Amino acid sequence: MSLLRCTGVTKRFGGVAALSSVDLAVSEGEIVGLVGPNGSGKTTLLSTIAGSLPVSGGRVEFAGKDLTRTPPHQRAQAGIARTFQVPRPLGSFTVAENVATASMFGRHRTGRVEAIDRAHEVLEEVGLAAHAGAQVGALTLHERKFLEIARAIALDPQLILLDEVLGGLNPSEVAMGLDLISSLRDRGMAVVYIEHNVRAVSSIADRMYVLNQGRNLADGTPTDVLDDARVVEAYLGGPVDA
Amino acid sequence: MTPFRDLSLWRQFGAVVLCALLAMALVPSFGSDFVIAFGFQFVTWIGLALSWSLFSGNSGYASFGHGVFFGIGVYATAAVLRHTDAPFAVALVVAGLVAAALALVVGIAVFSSPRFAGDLFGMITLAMAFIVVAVVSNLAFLDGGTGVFVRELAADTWIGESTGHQFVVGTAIAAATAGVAIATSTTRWGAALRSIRDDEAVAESLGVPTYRYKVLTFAASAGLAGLAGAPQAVFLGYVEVGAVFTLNIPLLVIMMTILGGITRWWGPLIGAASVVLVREALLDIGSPELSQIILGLALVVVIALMPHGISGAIPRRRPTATGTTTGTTTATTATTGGAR
Repeated sequence: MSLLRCTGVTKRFGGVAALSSVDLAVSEGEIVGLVGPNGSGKTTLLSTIAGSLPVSGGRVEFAGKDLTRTPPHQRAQAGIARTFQVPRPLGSFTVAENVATASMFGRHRTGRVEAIDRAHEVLEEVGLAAHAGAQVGALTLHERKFLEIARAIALDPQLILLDEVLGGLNPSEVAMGLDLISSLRDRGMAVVYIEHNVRAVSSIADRMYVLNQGRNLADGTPTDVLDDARVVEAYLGGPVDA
Repeated sequence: MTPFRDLSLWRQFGAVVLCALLAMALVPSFGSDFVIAFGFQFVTWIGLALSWSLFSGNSGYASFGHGVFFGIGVYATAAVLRHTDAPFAVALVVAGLVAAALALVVGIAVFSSPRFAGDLFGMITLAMAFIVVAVVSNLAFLDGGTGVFVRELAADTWIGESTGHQFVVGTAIAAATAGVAIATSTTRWGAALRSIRDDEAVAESLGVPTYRYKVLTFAASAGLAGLAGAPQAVFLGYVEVGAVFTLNIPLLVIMMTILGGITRWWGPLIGAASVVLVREALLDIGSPELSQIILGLALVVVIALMPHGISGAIPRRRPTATGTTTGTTTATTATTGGAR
């Protein structure tokens, strides 16, 4: 059974359909890559799953429950974590407090002391332990991106939605990030991973979905998807030597 | 861990109770009539500044409705004393509950729609102020356009007996408000409110029930302002719409909070104390306009020199949540921290 199932998800902004009847299914503990050209609706789909954008039509089911009309904080507590494409740390909180907030209000609602302890553990995992007491303003782009992941992990979710979390990073940082994302799967978390860098996604994804102009274009294993003529046509503009 | 097992919070509660008890024991016994009356206004402003900051300072949703909640407390007290034989304590409870109920209704209406997020909230609280003033002026059992003489109504009661008794009640209310302010300092409640102020969408994504926190804290803030209005009704003796529902209240309270800073719970307290004392000192000039100008300039200077207010300019020496020691004057607080 799927952990997450989006059925016929439609999102209209005024007269413009950003998503037209999109289907997506994610099983427990798998990494699903979500790719597509700019404006294909990837982030919009992510927001409808996280609940920050209400859908115009369709259903979002998670762990057997219909969450289509559920507010974002209840989805977070139910086990859906998300990161933001442009990192959005809480500015008046330290790095550790940012992470602790997720633990305090997330799936297990820990106490404050326990939340701070948990935050330190998570920061250790993502390699930000040295910055635990720092103000978020002092972080570099790559640290801010990893802080987004750390906050998501601290919710102790079953599903993590990653929005271009490695965009703008250098190759060694990307490699670290891919290892980190793979380790989430090893712990039983499912991941929906949006990334501009198709090669990076395909290297760790179990399956991939391709969106184009707000519609499903293709899905399957990374190899199948990248070989799909429609994908090559719509998204890549030519054959890939992957 | 609940706030009530946190020793540093207990110590702060204890300090507030001690100060309040000392003031209650000393001021009415040894103060002149002027000192007692001034002290009453002093604690009333402290309560108003702390209760405003409880919601608006912590969450970032600036409300211009604080004068309304205070005024409703004044009028609810006057109405209870005028129409029933109930003691002042009942009037006090009614004052708090009516103010909280109005905020609850407004909060539910406003925060249910994302349309009213952000700055529109302030505009709506301003509109609410004008509506409430019109309603109160025209309801015969509240005001009926003539005002209410509370002095005669309360003359035979304990609270009406002396200004010292009003001071005791006012101090107790200010202390209770400080207690609630402490409960939002380093606690789960405080962390939720400040995450809303920083980025509401992120707060939601981290599991913070933002709607519930906003509505309930707004109601608590209004209820405390309503309580502060109750002894004021007796103190004033005669209440009328023009004097009670003035926009001066929200404006002064905002000024006090900015001056004192919101990075620590006692910032608004310091701000309120400073503004009340400076205003009193400037009375000797004999020109209210000039004293307003001086106060305004003082505010500008303080903001320029201390962007996070007086409380924000005082370095922290205690360890923060993360075990490190900071002596900076940044706006950051150990909001979720347990170690303070």
